[in-house]
This record gives sequence, C-alpha cells and structure tokens, in this order.
Amino acid sequence: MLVFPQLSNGANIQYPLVRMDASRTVVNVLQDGTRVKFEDVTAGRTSWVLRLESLNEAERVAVEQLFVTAEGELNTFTLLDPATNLLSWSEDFGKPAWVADPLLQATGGVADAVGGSSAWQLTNTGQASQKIAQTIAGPARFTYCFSVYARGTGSVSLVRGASDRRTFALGSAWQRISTAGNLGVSGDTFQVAITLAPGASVQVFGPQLEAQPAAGPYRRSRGVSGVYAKVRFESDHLRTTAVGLDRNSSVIRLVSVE
Amino acid sequence: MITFPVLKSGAVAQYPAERSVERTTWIGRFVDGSEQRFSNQPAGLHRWVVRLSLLTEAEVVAIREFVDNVGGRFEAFTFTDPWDGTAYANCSLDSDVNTIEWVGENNGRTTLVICENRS
Repeated sequence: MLVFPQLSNGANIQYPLVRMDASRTVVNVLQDGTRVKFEDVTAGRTSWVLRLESLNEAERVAVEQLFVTAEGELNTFTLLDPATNLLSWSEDFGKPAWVADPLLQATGGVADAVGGSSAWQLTNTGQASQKIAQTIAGPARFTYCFSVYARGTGSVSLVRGASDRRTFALGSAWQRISTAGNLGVSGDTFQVAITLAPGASVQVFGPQLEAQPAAGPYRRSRGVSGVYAKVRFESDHLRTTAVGLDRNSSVIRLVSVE
Repeated sequence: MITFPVLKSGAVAQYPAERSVERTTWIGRFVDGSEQRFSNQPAGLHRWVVRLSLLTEAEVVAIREFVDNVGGRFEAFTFTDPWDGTAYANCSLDSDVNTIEWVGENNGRTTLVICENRS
C-alpha cells in the first residue's frame, strides 16, 4: 500500500494548507440570459497544495521515494486528508460505517457539546463490555489521535487497533477524551472503537480520528471520510529546495481521482 | 430549501465585501452611426463577492457542506443581501471550484462569488 508519508513528528501537514473541491456543471446560457444547467455528478475532484518546510533528510527522502515509486503522476497512492475527519458519519452512529455490538443501544438527537443536538446516548445493556467501532482503510503504522466528547455515568474506553486502550471516568460535564500515538503495528486497515463497561450509559459527540499526535478542532464528517485511496501527484516533476543543512522545502500538488 | 451559511457571529460576510448590479443592454449599431438600444432583462442582476477569513473549523465545515449541497454552480439558493437585508431567492455560486486555505488551526479563509439568476 502506497501512502503519502507522515512527518517525523507524527503530523502529516504544515500550514498553510490549501484544499480545492471542484464539481462540474454544464451551463447553457440562452439569449435572454436564462441559464439551463446540468450537473455532472461524477466529475467532482478534490485537490491539495501542501507546502512543506524544514523537512529533514529522512522526510525529504520519504516524499521522493513515494514520487519515484508512484512513477510521478502515473500511479495512485493513499492520502490521509489533513483537512478532514478520517472517520465518516461523525454525527450518525446509525450508519453502516459504524458497527455496534448487539447489546449496545445507540439513540441520537441528544444535546451536544457545542449547543446542537447531534450527540448520541450509548447504553450497554449486556453483561459484558460492548463497543461501537469503525474500520479505517489507512496504514496502521502511522501516528493517530482518536478523540470524542463524552459525559455520563461510569467509564468509557477509547480503543485503537488491538493494542491501544485508554479508559476514562466520566462526569456530568462534557469533556474531550482522546488517545494518541503510534500503534507500532503494520497493516492496511485498523479499527477504532468506543467501548462501554456493563451497565454504563454515556453521551458521546464528535468522534474524530486524525493522523497526528494530538486532537485538533472537531470537524463534522458525513459519508466521505478523509481517507482518499486514489490520489496522485499533479505533476511529473518533484522539486525540492535545500535551504540549509538538513532543511528542505517543497510544494506538492496532489489530486484525488476517485 | 438550501440556505447560505452564516458565521458564528451571525454575519454572512466580512469586510472587504463587494456587491455589483449588472444589466444587459442590446445595442444595434447602424451604418450611419446611429444606435438602437433595448433592455434585455427587466431588472438588474446582483452579484456578491464574499471574502471570509479567520474561519473556525466548524465554519469551514459548514461552507464545505453548503458548496457540496448546491453542487457548485448547479443548485439555486436564497441569499440575503448583507447590505440591505433583501432575500434573493434565485441565486447560485459563480464557480464550480471552492478553494479553502488553512493559514493555521481554526484559521481558514475562502472566497465565494454569488450571482443572482434570471428567473
């Protein structure tokens, strides 16, 4: 699996970051100024401009290696969009993207942490711990942060992959809980989950997964997650400027061809 | 009905903002130099340039979802003119491309151009 590399500090972005979303509308302008429009629903494209500064030699080589392996703009690779929540349907646990254990009840429309009503009540009615999980088609070896707003009685655990589990005691006030770091495993998919102990009943809002070492501002997501599986370089040229010892800069333009 | 998103402050636009009115005049020029003109539309059509900066992530998400909902130039929506509060029911975006730049965390910026359609 070819993936756009993470930086050595665990981030995969530097500011400023530019993202462009393009759709295609065929417009026929009549003589009286009236416009007849046709939406080309399959022609949407997303592209990014990544300005990377102060890359060390290992980071420069990783980007160049990806460019060489992908043969410039010929082949595609996976990009973890730094501008999007890597989870889909972050405010709807009822969607098929979320898989719940059979004795976990999920009810939507609960007052959330930002003044809306997009939180969910999760209740474990079973005798064993129950979870609600989502599988991400991203490299398990990267650094990720999984965060969620939560409140309620009892405790809740955030789980990443098979090895990382953090348990939090909750209260009546909203708190943003998170678990982050490198899982240290290989694989092209991994799972994140919210796990409840028997009898626990909690309200959760805004689950978010990011390919970075700490939680950033919450970004609502719908049916499209931030994992773009078919991204390519927009050019057959990769230019890097060495601005000092072990300091390189590059401007990289990528486009999704899904 | 799709509505144009408002910022956290409740405002629609930030300074500097542009507003223009466009008319279409048909001009027939004759060999002797004289002209005959008539209006090709009953009223002027408005156009607004909304430049937004210092956007929070929630505001950026709202704008991205709005652009996605209207499909770029395709779908019409109601836009309330921030100058006079008039709601124009038949407006659309002027471009199929929406560019958002993140200058930093919770610091996005973008420009949307809205044009009033002929009904």
